[in-house]
Amino acid sequence: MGTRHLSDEEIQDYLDRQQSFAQRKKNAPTKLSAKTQKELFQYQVLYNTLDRQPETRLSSTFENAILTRLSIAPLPQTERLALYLLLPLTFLLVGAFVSIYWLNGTSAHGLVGVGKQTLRMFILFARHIANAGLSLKLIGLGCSTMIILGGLDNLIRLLKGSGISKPHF
Amino acid sequence: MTTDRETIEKIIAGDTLQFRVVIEQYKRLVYNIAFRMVPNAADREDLCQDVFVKVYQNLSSFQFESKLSTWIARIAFNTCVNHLKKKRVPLFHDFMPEKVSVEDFGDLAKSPYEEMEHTDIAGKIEIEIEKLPAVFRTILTLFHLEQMSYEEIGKTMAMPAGTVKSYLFRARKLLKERLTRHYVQEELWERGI
Repeated sequence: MGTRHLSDEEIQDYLDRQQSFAQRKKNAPTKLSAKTQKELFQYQVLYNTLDRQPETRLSSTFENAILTRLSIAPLPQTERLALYLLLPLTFLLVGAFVSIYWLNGTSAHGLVGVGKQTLRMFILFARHIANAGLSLKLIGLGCSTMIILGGLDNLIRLLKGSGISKPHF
Repeated sequence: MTTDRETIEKIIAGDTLQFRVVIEQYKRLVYNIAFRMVPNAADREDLCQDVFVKVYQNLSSFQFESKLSTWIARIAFNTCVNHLKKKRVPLFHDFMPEKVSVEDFGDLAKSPYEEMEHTDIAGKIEIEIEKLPAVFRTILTLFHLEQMSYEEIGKTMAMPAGTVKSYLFRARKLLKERLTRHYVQEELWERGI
């Protein structure tokens, strides 16, 4: 009875269907030509080596290093959305408080008082600027304008949808 | 047992510490890809970190259309490809730098004991694997170490499954031929274990 010859592709196809090295040896086709047997064995050795896991050489601080990096990396989209929504509101609120404090020289009392004072801010702002010295007028006007414009800028970016970068990799 | 979906939903909801679970679960996969693709051992850990940072940043865009492992492997592959392009390392040509240090091979010869081990057939196969193009090395890794199917590897590397199979067969044939040519006298290779 003659022996069978398998092509290179047939040998690899056969070995790819076997789950393990032991299975590859056990289920090896019989009555193969000497050349095929030799090639089959060489591929078995090769497969056995390719199946071996390399030792993972990552530092013990690998996970922590990533988590540390992530604490300063951009947040996920949902959190970024919340941040971009809160940021302009916070800026506006801080701007209002700073303006009130600068104009009155006192801190705000109570939530209702804060609300009222915030609403009256622009009237007071205009009145005090009119009474203040020129240099103080310019400093106060500049600071308040920068804070409020910063907040508005963030709000506009949010509304336009340009404040959240699209993910890419 | 928590599924990938539950873990991801927790992370997106704000439980960022759950991301540690993802890192622990998939760091071997990412490392294996970086190990086979990136010749310089010193670059590998930083690249692995970059991969997980990208995974975290893009987690909300993962639609569960593939396995999480396939998606992470794809990010790892793309990150390594970009790194190799920056270093001008060809993806489809044989890689063997002229000035190569032992450290560049990472897991290869380190101690006298390992040097001894290095002389066996497995060590020689490792050396020959290092000389293969990066794309071939990656396909070998994903198929043999991660037990991915041709289709999964295709999704990971953005190529048809038929091309994956063709490259895989060519890579192994190339390895066998080189080993036969270079180590024809090797008793183990010729006779059997």
